[in-house]
Amino acid sequence: MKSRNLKRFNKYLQCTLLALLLTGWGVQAQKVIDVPLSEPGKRGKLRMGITYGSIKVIGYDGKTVKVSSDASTRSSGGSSGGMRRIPNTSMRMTITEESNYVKISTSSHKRTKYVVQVPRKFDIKISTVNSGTLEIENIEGEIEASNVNGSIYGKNISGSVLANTVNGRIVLKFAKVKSNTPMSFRGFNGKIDVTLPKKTKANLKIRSDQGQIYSDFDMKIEDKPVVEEKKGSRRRIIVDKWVMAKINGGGPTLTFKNYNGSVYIRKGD
Amino acid sequence: MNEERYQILMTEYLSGEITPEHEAELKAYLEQNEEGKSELFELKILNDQLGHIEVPEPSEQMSANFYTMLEEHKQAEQNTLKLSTRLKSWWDSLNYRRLAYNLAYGLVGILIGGLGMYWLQDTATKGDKNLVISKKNEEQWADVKKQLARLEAANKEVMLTLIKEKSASERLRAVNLTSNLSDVDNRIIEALLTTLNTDSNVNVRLTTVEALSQFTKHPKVRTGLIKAIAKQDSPLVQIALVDIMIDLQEKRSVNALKELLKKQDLNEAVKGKVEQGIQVLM
Repeated sequence: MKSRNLKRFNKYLQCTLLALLLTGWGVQAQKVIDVPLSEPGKRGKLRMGITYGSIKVIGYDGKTVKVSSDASTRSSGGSSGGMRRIPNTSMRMTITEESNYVKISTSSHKRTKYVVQVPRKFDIKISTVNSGTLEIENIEGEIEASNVNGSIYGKNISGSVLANTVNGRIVLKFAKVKSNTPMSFRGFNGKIDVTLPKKTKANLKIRSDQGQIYSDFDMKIEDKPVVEEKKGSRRRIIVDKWVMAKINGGGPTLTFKNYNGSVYIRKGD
Repeated sequence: MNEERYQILMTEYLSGEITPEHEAELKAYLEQNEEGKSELFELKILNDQLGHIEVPEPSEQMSANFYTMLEEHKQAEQNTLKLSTRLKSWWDSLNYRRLAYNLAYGLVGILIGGLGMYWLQDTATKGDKNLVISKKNEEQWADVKKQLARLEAANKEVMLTLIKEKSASERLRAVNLTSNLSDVDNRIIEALLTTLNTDSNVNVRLTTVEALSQFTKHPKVRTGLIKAIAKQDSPLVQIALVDIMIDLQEKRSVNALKELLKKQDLNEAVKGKVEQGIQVLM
């Protein structure tokens, strides 16, 4: 009976919060929006995609999601002719919550930095395109981070990560990796630098077209047979460009792929 | 060196646990034995492939779910609605486990088969010394083939189930599974192409491009990859597709690439790559 009630309750709790942030003359843009969860204490998911600006997601010991933004980080340069800059931080942001799934969208084209605090046990899916970095801290869950012209940084992560960017770095430090779960890190112009717990069991699949590969893990590198194809008198020899290696006896596949940047796989605690 | 000794050394070598002395001994033996050399090579490939196969295990969450379900079942038996949904998820997880067992079972089959094949070759070289044994081996070999087919089938089913998962890492696991398949059927090709064009995660899509690139002997895969060029908005996926077109010398992709160049706000890195691609393919 209890759970049936809960189910109905959930339905009503599919509440949509619309937050309209309009901060006026000279007021600091540090308003925090508190988003309650319909099932507090249970695992939730955050999804946020923007085209301009940065997102920082921090896990904390709380039961709500807190969203704040700061659009006043850039000064407007020298052509103001002695005038004082007035923070113009108006923007529109929509937040929805449905059974612990929090979605944030914004129509802002400013280089805003959003800071989102979530309970530690949260799955995160964030993306940006221009002029911004993605930062993730203290999260236990599945993380998807996608950038184009900026970097991805992660600290104290327990779980799994799928990360990709074109013009930026991917720097991640894991406290714990989810066992038996594949991960993937893909870049183009920046370095990929991932610190894994020293006991991590994994099959590493690494490739950097122009860069180098570095690691302090004891790796068992697999020498792959060279594949030969015969077509009439023509012989084609294919040498695979991927480096395959096992650490701590092997485990799920972790893919590191880069073009111009190097790949660093570091041994953590 | 007698056969038994040789077998022991081979097994040690393949498992990577051979001592330097034993390795020298094995090498010396193989020096004088060409057949043994190629046999070892084949077994090594088989062994390496076996190493690649990931056997999905029920996640921690799954067993946690199971125990919470059990607890709740004890406490609230009258709650039929919740119980039925719980039972359903429990059943799903059971199915999942069964697939894992299937895989494990298949693996054991291959191992036995590998030994069988080795045994078969062994007796074959000795001539028709023992007809009964070689016949037995033939049966074993047929069994191995059956097991291999079964393993592949199980692998495909797991893949097709996982690729529909909500969790991106589960979908990634599904696509990774295809690297163990010797060939793909229509269902798998469809599933991979759908993932390539609709999956919300760029990492999953990139892995799918690499997975499909193993099976380009299928015309459907080739045309699917060419069609995907116009559908992708991620610069990394666009670049990966151009790379494949160059690798395959796929001239039919030139039009799609030219269209891509016309796109506004095309990433600079992609632009360079596409121009290079068109130049190579024209």
